[in-house]
Amino acid sequence: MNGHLTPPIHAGWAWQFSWLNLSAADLIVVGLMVVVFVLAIVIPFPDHKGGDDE
Amino acid sequence: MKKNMTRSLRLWVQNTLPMENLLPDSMPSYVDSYVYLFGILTVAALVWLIITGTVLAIFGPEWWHVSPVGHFFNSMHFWSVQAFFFFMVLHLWAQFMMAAWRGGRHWTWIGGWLLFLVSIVAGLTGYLSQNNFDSQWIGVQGKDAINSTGIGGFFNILNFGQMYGLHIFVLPMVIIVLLAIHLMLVRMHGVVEPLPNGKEEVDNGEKVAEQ
Repeated sequence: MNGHLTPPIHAGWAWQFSWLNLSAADLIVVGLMVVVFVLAIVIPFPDHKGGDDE
Repeated sequence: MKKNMTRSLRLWVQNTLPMENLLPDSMPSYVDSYVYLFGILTVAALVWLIITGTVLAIFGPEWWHVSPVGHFFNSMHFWSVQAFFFFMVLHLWAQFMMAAWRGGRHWTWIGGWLLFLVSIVAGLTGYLSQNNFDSQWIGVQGKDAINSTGIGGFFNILNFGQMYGLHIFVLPMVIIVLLAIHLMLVRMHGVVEPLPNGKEEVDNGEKVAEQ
């Protein structure tokens, strides 16, 4: 490697904006979290059948 | 009646945390939402972390780096921590958006933040405990950042023994104690009611649904 020390961690695609490092994996995880959060709000919770007070 | 520490403690527990609150068999109707599951999913991930972490600690690094079963438990531990932080952050978003510190629940909120911060340190010591080139790289890269905070050699991330000890004993104990307090506070104060939507008054939990 011509004497260069290369990090063993390969995060794949990544962007660097000043102090902020963002990898594609970071964005995918955050996007997935937003999707799961919205689905948790939107999807109706199943009704309980056969409860005493229903 | 004479003063008695044991009786005082028993009365305090009876008054502040009766068994009906500690192990309730019904919940307010507004808890019927997937949003309220993120907390328990975080706890479930923590349980898996402790189970897989215990197996890893028993057999050691040579096992988890070489043996196929060791790889499996290593991966289980890794994916459990992904789920742990994934659901913890979703739990944080949900509690923030419903202003869950209302109604005297401020210590539950502050305790949750403490849990989050301690978990980040637990995650860092975990990455340093892998015993591979990744952990060496993180240790060498991170030492200057830690030194710049002024902590100096007290928290030496190049010291594998210290990081491993913190990761498998001290930090899990702190997390378990904080979590026990967090859950106890949730049981004492009850689940926070939704914010009023402007059209109707908040259901204060009179209508209940079987859990």
